[in-house]
Amino acid sequence: MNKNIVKIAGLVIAAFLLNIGYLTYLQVFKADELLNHPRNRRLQSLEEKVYRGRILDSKGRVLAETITENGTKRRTYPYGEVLGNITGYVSKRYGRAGLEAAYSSTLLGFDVESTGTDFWSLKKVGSPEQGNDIVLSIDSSVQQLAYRLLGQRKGAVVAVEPSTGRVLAMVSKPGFNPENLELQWENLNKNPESPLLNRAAQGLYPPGSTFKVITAAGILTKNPEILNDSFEAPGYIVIEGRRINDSQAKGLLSFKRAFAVSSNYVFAKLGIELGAPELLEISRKFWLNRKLPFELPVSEGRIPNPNSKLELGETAIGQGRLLLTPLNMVMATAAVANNGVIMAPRLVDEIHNTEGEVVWRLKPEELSVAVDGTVAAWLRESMVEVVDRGTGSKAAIYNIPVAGKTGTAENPHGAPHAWFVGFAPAVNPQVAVAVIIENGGTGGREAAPIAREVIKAVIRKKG
Amino acid sequence: MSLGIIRRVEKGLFTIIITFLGLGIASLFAADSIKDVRLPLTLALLVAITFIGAHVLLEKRKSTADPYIFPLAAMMSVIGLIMILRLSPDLVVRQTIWLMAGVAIFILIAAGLRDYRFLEEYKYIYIFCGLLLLLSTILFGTTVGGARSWLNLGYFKFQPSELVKIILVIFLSSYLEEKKEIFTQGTRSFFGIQVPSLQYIGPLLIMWGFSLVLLIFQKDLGAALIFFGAFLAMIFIATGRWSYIFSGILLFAIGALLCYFLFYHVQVRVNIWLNPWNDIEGKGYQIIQSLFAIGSGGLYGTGLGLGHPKLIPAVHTDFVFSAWAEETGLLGAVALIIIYCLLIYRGFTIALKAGDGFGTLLAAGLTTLLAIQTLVIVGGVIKLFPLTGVTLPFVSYGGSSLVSNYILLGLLMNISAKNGA
Repeated sequence: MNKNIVKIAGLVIAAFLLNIGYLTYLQVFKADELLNHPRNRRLQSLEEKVYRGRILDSKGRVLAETITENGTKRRTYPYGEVLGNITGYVSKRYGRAGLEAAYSSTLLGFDVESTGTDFWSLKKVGSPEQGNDIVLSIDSSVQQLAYRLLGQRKGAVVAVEPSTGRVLAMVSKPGFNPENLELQWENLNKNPESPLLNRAAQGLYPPGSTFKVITAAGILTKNPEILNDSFEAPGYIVIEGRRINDSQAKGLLSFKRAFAVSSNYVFAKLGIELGAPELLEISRKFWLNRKLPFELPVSEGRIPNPNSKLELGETAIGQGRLLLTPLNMVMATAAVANNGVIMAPRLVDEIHNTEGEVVWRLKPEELSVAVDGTVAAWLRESMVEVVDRGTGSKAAIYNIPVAGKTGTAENPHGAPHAWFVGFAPAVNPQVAVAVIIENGGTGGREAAPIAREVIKAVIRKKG
Repeated sequence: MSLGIIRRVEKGLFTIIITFLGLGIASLFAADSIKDVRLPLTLALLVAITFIGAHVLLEKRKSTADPYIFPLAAMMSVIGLIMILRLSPDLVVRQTIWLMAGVAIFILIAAGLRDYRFLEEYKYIYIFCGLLLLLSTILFGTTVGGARSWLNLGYFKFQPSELVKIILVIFLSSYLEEKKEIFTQGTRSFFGIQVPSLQYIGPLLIMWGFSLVLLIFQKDLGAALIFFGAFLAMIFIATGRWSYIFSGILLFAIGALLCYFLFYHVQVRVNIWLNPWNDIEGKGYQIIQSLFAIGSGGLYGTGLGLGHPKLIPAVHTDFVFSAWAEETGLLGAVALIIIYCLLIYRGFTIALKAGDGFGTLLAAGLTTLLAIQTLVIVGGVIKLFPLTGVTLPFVSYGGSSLVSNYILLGLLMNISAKNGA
């Protein structure tokens, strides 16, 4: 009988260990997620007692802070709608959004990380009075510039540092002012232009010809010899009875020229030869049809499996059913700039505690290798050709070689969307940019100049 | 261990426990969770006197009983008192009275005149009483928290199933000790195929039916699980046959499946367990609030009195573990689980050292009972298993549960005393 008791005791102890294991999972690995869950009212009640930390840009400019005015606490956002899509808001009635939501526990000083490295410094005992500050990679002057350049048009501009994935600017227009949210809430929600949507990370658009960067990457990876081929382009292509026009790209074209003048004929034809599985695989390597890890909510790009030759040809030139976010396109462009390595996009550089000490610092994270270095170099040359002698000439900057690709995306909602993606300097790039203007017309004419100004502003600041 | 050392160990442990109680009240006061310390300190003093009194009585009677299990249970009771003081201060006086009553009955059983072995004789009488109690609950019971398992006795409500669990274990110990040969050799050979006989499978079917009756008429999922689990463990200990466990689990699975398709409330429970996030503000509310509390506690906890465990409905009974996990963190929660493990370890040790078959089965059965109940509720509030509303032994608010657990503890003491554990 005693042996049996030992066996039962063993089972019981195993069951207890299982409980301890799951409890550890909840209290260590899931703790942040559970604490920050929007339905968890703990942070909200802490909010009343604590001065929420500040949100600063990379130059130390204040993007959000809590001040006391006539004895009441108020959250101010000095840049208003220029940065509303990034800072988000915090409201008793409507909850939290943006970085205010993603970093709520940090800003409220409630993170384990912020209690310091000393095991015994149990700062969490007793509520803190002042939360932590977060420092972003955003440069608000570049952000302001891009916001102003979009003018009255709807769209998005994203600029990132290719080698680290740090986001330097992320504009979504129309924006919203996070202050006095209660007064404008109904209008913001009813507004058909959806100002609360962060178009840069959540807006889904057909990428148009900017997608040819991806198609070209797939073609060059599979068959590098193609660089020596020439194509007789008739100025249109007929696939399964459907005619796609292409009037600016006629005549005998090398691969590079075909890319520079954005030949639909060449890229639809080569895309069909490449095949759907390969096209989807290269897209996956560029994280286009995967959810990018990011601090703000992102939409997952959609590239449906083409189920006909026509659809495959359309997908290869960025038309058809595929939809991508500006963040998708800028990260893919940045991967080309970064020798084929795609980095995780990141907004927060540092966390500072109340004493101003850095308690956390960003470690750039590689997501995957999209293409090898040689293919990246060929893509770069082709993209430089686009700006030097192709559709993207309006992005050219005196003394700085710029690589880019334009897009003019047909869509069912009126005039085409104007796209430009690019990076500069072509060698040792410091910035990659994606610009989209909804129903803005031709990419080369409308989007390229905005990209040029943003690139100039970033590079000039870096000296 | 010599007599002197045994009780000195106990005294040392009680010093720690009483200090812990004082510190607990002090930190609740420091956290502004209680405004007036006079009543809590008075109650703490009463509790301290009760524990010390019980200890001195054991010493006076030169008891050789186990020196660990009483302090371990006392530690849990103290944690329970602190949490009730923190969560529902109105109930702390009642809980203190129940605790003192529990310890009184405990000492009566542990150091009283009778040897536990007399229980072996009258098994059919008290199992009859136990079943009568359960039947009366089914007929005249009132429903609390979805389970119809309470008897309203005017001044207080009483949950007979808590007591019946212990009666059942005593009965099974006696019954299995008497009949274990039959169960061990209970297969017949039909044309070379081993087929279990009716004698072999009979008790299994009866217990299965009994658990199902509990489940169907009382909607008391937790009690049914505990009854059946303890029974399986005991019959395995008596016979050493895994086939009992396997066929038992099979039967239980069949029963559970039947109930799932027949009863809406079982379906609801299972669905909440599988995905509470679908209905955060509705049916999943309680378990989600529990997970929020546990997760927000993190590694170190918020500190006693500084979290928000009151967001969980029924936090002082079924969810007291979640509150403890929020305010003392993973460190505190695991510490509490370790206290249970130590108590269970001592319980099995007592079973191993008991000289007679009845004593061994009784100690092992009672320990298993305690273990399963703890696992069911801890696993339930952390969403490892479907949640069934049972109390956390010695910690949760509730008189029937607390007194029954001290009866269980007293029996373990009595068994260990006879055998010099």
